Amino acid sequence: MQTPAAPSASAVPETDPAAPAFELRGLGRCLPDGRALLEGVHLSVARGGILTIAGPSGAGKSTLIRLLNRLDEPSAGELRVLGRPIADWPVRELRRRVSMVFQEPSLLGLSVRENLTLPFRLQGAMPPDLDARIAEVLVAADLSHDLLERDADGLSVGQKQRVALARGLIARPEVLLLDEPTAALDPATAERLLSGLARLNRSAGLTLVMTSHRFGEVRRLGGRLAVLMGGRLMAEGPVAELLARPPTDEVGAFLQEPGGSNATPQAPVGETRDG
Amino acid sequence: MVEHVIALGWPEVLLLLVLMLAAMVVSLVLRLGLTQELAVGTARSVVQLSAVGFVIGWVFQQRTWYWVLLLLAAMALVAGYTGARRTRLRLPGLTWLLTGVLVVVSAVVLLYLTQAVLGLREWDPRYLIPLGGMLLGNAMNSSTLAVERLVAELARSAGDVEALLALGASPGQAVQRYRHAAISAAVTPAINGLLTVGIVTLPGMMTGQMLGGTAPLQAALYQLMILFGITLCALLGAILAVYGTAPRFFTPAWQLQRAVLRAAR
Repeated sequence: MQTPAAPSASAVPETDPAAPAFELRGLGRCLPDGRALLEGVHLSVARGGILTIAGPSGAGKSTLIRLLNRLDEPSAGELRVLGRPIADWPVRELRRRVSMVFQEPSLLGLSVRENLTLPFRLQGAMPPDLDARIAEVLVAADLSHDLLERDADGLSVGQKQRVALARGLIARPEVLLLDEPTAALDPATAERLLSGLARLNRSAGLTLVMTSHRFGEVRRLGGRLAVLMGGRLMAEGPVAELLARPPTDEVGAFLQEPGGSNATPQAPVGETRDG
Repeated sequence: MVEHVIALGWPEVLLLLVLMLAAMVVSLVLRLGLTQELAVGTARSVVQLSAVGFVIGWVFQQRTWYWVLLLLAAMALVAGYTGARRTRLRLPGLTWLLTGVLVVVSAVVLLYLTQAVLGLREWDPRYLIPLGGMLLGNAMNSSTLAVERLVAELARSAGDVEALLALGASPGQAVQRYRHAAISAAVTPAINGLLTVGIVTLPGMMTGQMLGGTAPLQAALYQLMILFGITLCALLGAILAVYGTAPRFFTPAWQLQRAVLRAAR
């Protein structure tokens, strides 16, 4: 199902499984009134890689991540997903391969099992290995099997977000997008969610793209970091490298903010606060 | 049928205006701030109803199919326009959508009532105009309620709708639950009307017919015809209006158009 991590940024034909998960060239998005939310973003995300998108609120983090599974349409630039221009993908197939988990879990008032099987019901067919898949995503999302028949409304915030994560994984996507997945969670719950994600990335080669305010978790998760400010990409590179040598003073100041990434350099995720 | 009816003339209308004057005086004294609305409402109802009385009276005398049809079409257009305005939504083309919906559902039910039930064999305005008006009016109420409710639900649940789209739902699948909520909210008044009719209220048509000299049981059966007709009309109107409106909030690439949704409210 998953493709192994591939070297990024190599020019490959569309069908090549080694193509990056995402290639963004001059990507931008404007509101109907012409106000730019995102401008000229160049970026490549390797398959099997981890990218965290950080930046002050209103910097365009959500705008960017919502373009990646085509929840919104870019108004400028080029976007290739798994080697193909995004508009060439049948939408349902694109969103199966590029799954998304939001800040709000949106569990729609059904049982946990019904939530997990929702993607298949939307497609109109259950896979033959449904039980195996359910077991697989319950483990991946760190959920107890006992919760399956429970009403999702009655779960804790953390459990709900893990059900949303499990639901996002059940169709075996190649990429998982997470828009502020931990914003509503307490630090300890956030930590558990993130270690689960890191495990999936290592074991299944799942590509992760996440927006986040919490610099502690950015550091902990590793991979690459993209810093957005005012709708522009200010810096992109390996997390450790960017933190050690921010390319501009502005980026450096943002990364140094109290509660930011360097405020508690050695602290585990569980002890950091929202940035 | 009309021999016992006490005729109303313009002198009696002056006596009726005393009722509205009383309402305005009460509003003034208690400072309810309703005086101006009452005055406008009074003036408009007098003008509209007497104008409509004249027009329909004239059409009644013509008894030609095109005048009947023209009057029904004008009523449908006014209903579509009024309904679209009443929603206070900024959705381009809503007037035409609603008018189309009203015409279709009212025509279907009106045909059934006049042809199958009443066995009408000519363009008799005495049946077609009042029945058509009631069907149009009720379809207008339910379709505008349904559209309003749909837009409110979508705006409130935009996050859930997008979560569904992200899971591979088509726009139709993503809005299904909100479509259902909107339709059922819109038809509930009509269904409640079925439950309470005759117990809590005597409907306007039955009252009017009895005042006009019709035997109460006859009037009740006519009322039944109208009730069943408007219930189906309300249901079909809500369904068509909701199915006609929902796709506007999505792109062909299965994206929720939040900007359109925001602009509509």
